[in-house]
This record gives sequence, C-alpha cells and structure tokens, in this order.
Amino acid sequence: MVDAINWDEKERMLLDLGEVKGCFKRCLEPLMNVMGDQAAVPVQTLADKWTMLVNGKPWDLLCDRIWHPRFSPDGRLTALVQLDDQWALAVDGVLSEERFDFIWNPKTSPDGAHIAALVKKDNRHTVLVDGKTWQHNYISIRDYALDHQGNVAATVQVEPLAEADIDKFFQGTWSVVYNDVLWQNKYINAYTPVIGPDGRTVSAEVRTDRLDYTIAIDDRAWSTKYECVWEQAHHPKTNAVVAPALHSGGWSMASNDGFIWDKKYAQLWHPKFSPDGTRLAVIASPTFGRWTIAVDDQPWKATFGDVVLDPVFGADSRHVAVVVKDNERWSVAVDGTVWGDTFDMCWDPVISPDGATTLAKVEKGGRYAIAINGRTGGQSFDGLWSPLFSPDKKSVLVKCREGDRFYTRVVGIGELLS
Amino acid sequence: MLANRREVADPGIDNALKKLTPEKIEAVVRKVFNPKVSARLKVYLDTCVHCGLCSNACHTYNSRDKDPRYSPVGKVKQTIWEIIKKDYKVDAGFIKLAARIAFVECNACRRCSMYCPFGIDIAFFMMTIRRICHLLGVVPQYLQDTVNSHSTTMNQMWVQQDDWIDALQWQEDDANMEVAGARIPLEVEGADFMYSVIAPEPKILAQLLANMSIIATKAGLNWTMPATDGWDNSNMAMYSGDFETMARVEKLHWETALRLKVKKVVMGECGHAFRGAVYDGPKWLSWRKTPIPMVHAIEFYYDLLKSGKIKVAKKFAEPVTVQDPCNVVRGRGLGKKLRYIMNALCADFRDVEPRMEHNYCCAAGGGVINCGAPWKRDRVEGNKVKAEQIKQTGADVIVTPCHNCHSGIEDIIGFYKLKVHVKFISEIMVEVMEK
Ligand code: SF4
Ligand code: SF4
Repeated sequence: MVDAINWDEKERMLLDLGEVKGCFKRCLEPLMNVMGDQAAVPVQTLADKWTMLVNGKPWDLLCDRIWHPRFSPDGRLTALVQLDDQWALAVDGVLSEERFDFIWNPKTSPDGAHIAALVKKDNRHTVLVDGKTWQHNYISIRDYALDHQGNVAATVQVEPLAEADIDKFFQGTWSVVYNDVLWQNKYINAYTPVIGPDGRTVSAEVRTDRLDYTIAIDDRAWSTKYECVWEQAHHPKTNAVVAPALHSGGWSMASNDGFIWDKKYAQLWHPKFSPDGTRLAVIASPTFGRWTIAVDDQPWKATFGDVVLDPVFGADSRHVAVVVKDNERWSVAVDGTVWGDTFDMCWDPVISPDGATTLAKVEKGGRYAIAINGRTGGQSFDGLWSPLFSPDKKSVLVKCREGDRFYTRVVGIGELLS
Repeated sequence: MLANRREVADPGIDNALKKLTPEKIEAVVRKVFNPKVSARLKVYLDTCVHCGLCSNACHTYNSRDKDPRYSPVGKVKQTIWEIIKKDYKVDAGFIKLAARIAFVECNACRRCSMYCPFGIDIAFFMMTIRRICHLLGVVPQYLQDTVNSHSTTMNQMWVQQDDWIDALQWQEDDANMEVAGARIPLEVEGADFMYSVIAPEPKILAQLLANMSIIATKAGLNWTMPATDGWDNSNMAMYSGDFETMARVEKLHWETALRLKVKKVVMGECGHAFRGAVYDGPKWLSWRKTPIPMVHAIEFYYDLLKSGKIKVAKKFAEPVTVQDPCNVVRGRGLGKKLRYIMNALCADFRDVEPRMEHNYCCAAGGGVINCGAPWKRDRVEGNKVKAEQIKQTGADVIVTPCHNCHSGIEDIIGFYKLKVHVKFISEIMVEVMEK
C-alpha cells in the first residue's frame, strides 16, 4: 500500500533488463506498481513459454500465453494466462483454482483488496471474484463493477435471442445481477452498473422502451424517461443517484425527481462527486464544439475545442483538475485555469493534499516528464508510471525507466523543476 | 405506365405499420420537422428548380431504365414533398412507401448532390425520412437487428467480448507463422495509435486482422487494439435513424481511444464506419471534429508505401480495378491516394470510368445491404451500371477498401455473372510486400 512506501530511500534500481533480456526470446511492455517496489515484464522464454519477470526474477509459472498484466493497487501482480488450452487468473504467479474456457476484463477494487474478472465456461459467462465463481451463469455479460467490499454488479443477457428476432429484443432480454442475485425486470438494454457507497444499492442506465432511457436503482426505473442518458453517479454520503439526461434537444443533470440543474448543455457526461459530496463536477459542452467542466451547474469560463477528460477532485474537495485538449495540444486545467505549457499527451492529474500543487505525467517529443503546476524541469524519462506526492508534499515518488533500467526515486519538487 | 415495384415482405416494416395511427404519424413528423430541420428543408425545396440534372447521377435511376421514381428528385417528390403537400397528414401506406424509398432505394451516397447545380443534399432528405421511420418503429428487420446488436454489444454482429479477444489472439498466432514476432498488442496504453475495425473482421474475415499484424510488424509500428467494447466503429444506427444508439457507439469508441492514450486512430478498410466516427457521430456528441485524429486505411497504407516502411517485392500481376468507396473518396477525397496504392502494389491497374469522387456507389452502402436478404434482389438490380462499369475494365480482380463495397460488389458479381474476384487492399499488400 501507499503507506508502505519508504520515503527516505532516495533511489532504488529495481531491474536492469539489459542484463537479463538475452535469456529470453521476447520482452513485451513493462509495468511498475503504485508503490514503486516492483517492475515487471512479460517475457517469452527460449522454450517458447511465457512468464512474468518481476524485479529480474521470473515467476515459476510457465504459460502458453500471458496477457493483460496489471498491478493491483496493493501491489499484487495479476495476469490472464493460458495453459493447455485453458485459461486462469494468475496473481503473483499463483493460479486461480478453476480453469476457464476464457477469462477477460480483470478489475481490482480501489484499494486492491479484491480482484474480479469475467469468465466463460461451457459457452456461458459468469464472474470470478476473489478466486470464486458465481453459481449462476449467463448467455452474455457486458459491463460490470467491483466495489471496495468485493461486491460485483453486472449487466447480463437473461433471454436467448434468435437471429433477427426484433420483437423479442424489444420485449427486453437484458437485466442486472448483483452478487449473483438477478433483478426481476428485463430491459431492452442495460449499461454501466454502479454500486452505491454503502454496498447495498445498485444502479444502471436502462432502456425501457424503444425510445426511452432512464436510470434504474435496485430494479426500479425512474418514472421520468429521457431521449438518452449517460453513466450515473452515486452521492458518496446520501447515496442519491444523478445522471446526465437528454430532453428536448438539451442535456442537463437529472435525479429521480427530474432535472436538478437549470442550464441546458449541448452535451454532458461523466459526473463526479467531490469526496465530501458537496460538489458535482461534470464534463460539459456549453455550446456546440466547445468543452469544459461544469461544477454545480456553473461551467468554467475557459473552454476547449478538442476534448476534456474526467474531472479529478483533490482530497479536500475544493479543487478540480482535468486533462484538456485544444488545437491538437494536451494540457491540464485546474479550477478553470489552464496550464501555460502544452504537451503531446497528458495523464490524469494528481492534486496535493493541501491543494497547492497539481502534477501530471506528460509526454513531449517521445519522452516522459512530470509537470508540476504546468512546469517541467530538465528531467525526462524513457518510461514513467503514475507519480505520487509524499505525505509532506515536498517530494514526488518517481517510477521511471531509463534505457533498460527501472528506478524508483524520491525527488524533491524543486529538484524536479530544476 | 410504370411497372409496380416488386412486393417485398419485411416484418420490420409490415408489422410496425399495423400499430400506427394517423395521429401518431403526424406527431412524429411534426417532431422531426422541427424549426431547425424545417428551415434546412425549406431552403432546399425552394431552391430546387426541378431540372432533373441529378437524375443521371443516380445508379438506381440509371440501372432501372431511367424510371423517374428512382431519380433523386423523384425520391424527394414521393416523400418529403408529399408530407408537406399533405400538411403532415400522411398515412401508414405512405410510410410503407417512404421507408422503402429511403432505406432501400437510396444509398445516401451523395453522388447526386455533385450534379445538382445547387448542391442540394438529397441524402439529407432521405436520412430525415429514415429518422421519422425509426421514431415510428418502422425499420427493415435485418437493419434493425444490426442496430440492436450495436446497442447491446457496441459492435454490429453480436460479437461476444471473449470471442473478440480470442479472434485477435488466434490471428496473432497465424500472423506469427508468416512473420516471426508478429503481434496484435492488446491494451497497450500510450501506443502511437489504436487500430479499429468493424465486426465482420473477427466474425467472418479474421485473416484481415492477421494481415494488419503482418503489415504493422514489418513496418515496426507501435500500435494497440482494445480488449474491451469500443473496438468497432461501424454504425448502422446512423443509417436506421437511431441517432441515440449511433452516438453511444461512437462515444464508446472515442472514449476507448482516449483511455488507451493513443495519439490517433487508424481504422480498417470500411467507408461508412469512417463517416460515423469522423462526421455524424462527433456532430451529435457536440464534437466539431474528432477528439483525436482518425485516418482511414487508405491514408495509412499510402503513408507506409510512400515512406518505404513497406516495400513491394513483386507487384500483383493480374489485371486489377478498384471501387472508390463513397464515404472516403467522395466524402474525404482519398481517391488519389487510393490510386497511388493501386499502382504501387499492382502491375496492371485498370481504372474505372467514371472514377474518384464521380464513381458510382456499390449500392450496398448507406445501410442498404444490412436490410438483408428480402431486399437483395432490388439492391443488385438497382446497380446494373456498376456491373457494366466493372466489366468494361477487363480486370480479373476488384479492390474494395470498404466492407460494404466488398459485400455489395460480390453480390453484383454473382448476380451479373462477372468473372471477377473481390479483394481488400491488405490482402494484396500482404501478398506482394517484402516479408
Ligand atoms: S442513391 Fe445516391 S445518387 Fe441516388 S438518390 Fe441516393 S444519394 Fe442520390
Ligand atoms: S438537380 Fe438539384 S435542382 Fe435539379 S431537380 Fe435535382 S435536386 Fe432539384
């Protein structure tokens, strides 16, 4: 966990791939974990088997194929692996007990304590969560959510559909399942299940009629139907659900009681509550072709022509930072003010606990750097993984690749900018 | 006296008509003819001088002995004008005919607009009729089924998520047998580009995925494909008038590219998918242009050949001609790049006449081929001129850098008994390139 980071260790080299890559046929895309104490690479052995090389040491597990390696936030390394035409989830080199016909879309809970994936067996889909598969299986599963308690909600096809059976389709063949318990109602379509903060409520976008979309909470659809809705959000304290909804050619934020915002937008999506629930930030297009963030129905004055990504709140809920793109250049905007510099690419910003500093991984001319309040110093890297603030906000954990070498460093902000 | 149109049973249209009332039709027509649309329609209608210059532009008119009902202006006369003449009070019988004209007898190819002295957008009229039909629930069965697949799976052929990934991995293995180390890199964040394809590739033409793997590996490209929904940017909802589903598909496609932090999207050999991803989808979603650039396969292959990243070992010997897909040649001006590719890959390229932006539509586009088997005969009969055009080239092979063109021209070849094979660019490229 992040708490376990040793902020006194100035530099640690985790791996020199140059020393070991001759032992392998191929090395694929490397990755580093959040805490910066592991660097991993999928490698193909000279005997044509695949494994993960972690800090220079291969797993004992040898597979016919490995894909989708990811570190969970608690530092465990997960990968989807194939052995003898069967699939399994490998966590730190240990296989899930069961084997499957296929496994895909692994997810971890925010703290990494829970790991889930979708699996196929006998041509049916089900969910694998913390090593156990659900009892029930389905014709198809599409979207699913995993929460901090290991609860899983998924959209599932519950009725078979013959080829081109459009009548049956419009009677509803999809529903939502929560922890292996199915909702009663069938919907034409169901999308983006979201689990409420208390772990007891589940919501989803649903299509209740050919032209009607709304949000269903615990299988009860809002009485108001819309021309279209996008993914909903749960209030972190009250559990109230809000969603962007389209009516008469304009988008606004809606709840169970109809629209809760006054303004109409050309587009509105990805609502996000602040951690304390006092503010709601949404990606908004106030007029055609322009994009910004609207916080509590107040769009920022600054707008951008290309795209605005998901808003990120600081821990104190006061500040919002977001990746923006205008005239083919990427940058970051914080509380409506865009950084002076632009980049070839920007990753999600991180706001320091006191709200004074925002940093982001950025790319320029094929190299990666850390931008701090819009400025980059002389340090750039061949590879870089999500930078983190130290608890005293004075330093940054830099996980980087220079050539074949993977380092984790604790670097002072002043030094980074020099 | 004009012969009656052939009766075609289509439950998507016929059953829906039974549920319509005059009041419901009028309400929907009035809703679609909102002030913004009405203003655009009015300008067009007032501008049209009924000169008929658009008629000779249309393959359906030219292929049916110049039957005026199939002329572009004739299609508008039978649909939009009729609605206005009747002050929006049209009946189910009218909707049945209007659906047939808009969904099956017009490919929204926009060739006619080039020949109209005022550039009147006939396809826009036909799309407006399709929107009315969608809101009334009157959509050809197979087209509606394709749209249902889009709304459910975000791809057009009900491809399951696991089957998608499995197809990529299997094709990666196949590519590896041709070129050592060939990959289809999945979920690589920060790759230079995301490659997006349409559902027929994993479902029925999987070797095209291996072709891309071989080409990208030889060219040393840093690319990726998603292992989630959002990989298919085809969009029959755009053509059925279901713009909400169209938008959902395009939103996910672009959000997938944004999630993968790629700098551009390269898309496979498909025309309408380009239109959906670059024009119609973004416009509905409030993007003036795509959030990151997209290039069509024609531009992508052109760059690879021009830069020497892909070199030709021995040119394709058989006589070859080409189909210019409307959405990327008339719509995007890629005709010259397409010819550069043809000449770079083929020793005996025989161009079509008319060509480039003047080329005839394949008659499969605009969602027409997705109306399925009931309408196949009407579709191929409506494109006799295309069969004649291909025959005149004397080519043994026709290259179609578009899935709709590919299937539509195969049907034409079968119906008119032409001795021609259809290929994608990538098939010829992989055959002739240095490996
Ligand atoms: S098929 Fe093409 S040329 Fe014919 S009316 Fe439609 S858009 Fe015009
Ligand atoms: S060419 Fe233009 S003006 Fe003439 S009939 Fe056709 S649409 Fe009308």
